Amino acid sequence: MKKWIFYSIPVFTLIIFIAIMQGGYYYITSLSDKNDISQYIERLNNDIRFSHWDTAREDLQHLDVAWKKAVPRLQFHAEMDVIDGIKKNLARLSGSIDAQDPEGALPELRELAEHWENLKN
Amino acid sequence: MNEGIVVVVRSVIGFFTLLIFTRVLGKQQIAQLTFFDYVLGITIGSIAATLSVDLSSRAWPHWVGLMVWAVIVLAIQWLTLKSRPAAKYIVGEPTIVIMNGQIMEDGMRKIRYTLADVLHQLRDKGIFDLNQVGFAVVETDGKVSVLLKPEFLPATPKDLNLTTQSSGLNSELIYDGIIINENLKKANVDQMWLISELNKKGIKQVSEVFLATIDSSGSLFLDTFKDNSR
Repeated sequence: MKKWIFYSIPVFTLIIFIAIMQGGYYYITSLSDKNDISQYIERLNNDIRFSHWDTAREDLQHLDVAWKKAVPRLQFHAEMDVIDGIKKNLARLSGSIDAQDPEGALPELRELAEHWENLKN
Repeated sequence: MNEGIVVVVRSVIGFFTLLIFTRVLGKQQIAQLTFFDYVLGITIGSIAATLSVDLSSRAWPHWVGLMVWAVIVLAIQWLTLKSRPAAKYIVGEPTIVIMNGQIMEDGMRKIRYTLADVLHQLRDKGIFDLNQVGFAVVETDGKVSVLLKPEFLPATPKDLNLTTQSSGLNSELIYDGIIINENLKKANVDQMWLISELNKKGIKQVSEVFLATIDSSGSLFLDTFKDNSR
């Protein structure tokens, strides 16, 4: 086997591994506007504060879709606890918005934002 | 999140990373396994196991940890190869525990080796009588090397003034029913010769042969798929 092939196989393999493990980080930081989860969190925050429950419901749906798209790309990068945490936050947030309960919705949204920020580390 | 897929991907990453790192670290790890190397192997293996199945933490920190341990081992290996004092300091030195038939208690105490340990290792080598031992040395990997007193050493052909022939290394001419042409050339023989040799032994087809080797004196060893003892 040629020497360069002998050395390039392990180097290439390690580069692929690094890309799989760290790819999620680059995905999060390069999200387009349509899938930008931070943007939906911000919008939901305003909706809940000003009791715009109909738009809150719509934004939550967008957030849910964006999150479901993000999970397959993040799963090799993120901790399972954080992914599960966000899933729970979304479920509880949905209940609080249906009940039009800002006191329940805002802490959930804050925790969700915190989980999302954690994924960027 | 599909936990099964994540575990599969992380296991593949852990497995091949370990494989690459152990290949880089070389054969020394296996051939001269000191106690430290043993602990080191367990630690690196444990990090790889966590990387593989512990989904409550990210794969990346474990992978970095794995790499750091491997790089440190590599650096220490390099240092011990380049500097003799460093090798002496890091790996240690062999210790003589029996010299001219005398047990060296101080040496044994320094390396925390008991007489029972020495006797065990001697028995392991088939030596049950301490009177036979000229020198016994505890190597850096904890194993005991023994030099018997001259009168107990086995006689060699040289002692008996016998002439011997070097048998050299065998080379495979047929493996699994297939002729290895490359080795035929190296052994300075051709297919015609090989087939005539097979015919002499009553073998009609090359495909009947599982293994055929030739030594430097031209002597052929044959093993067919059909075993007579069955």
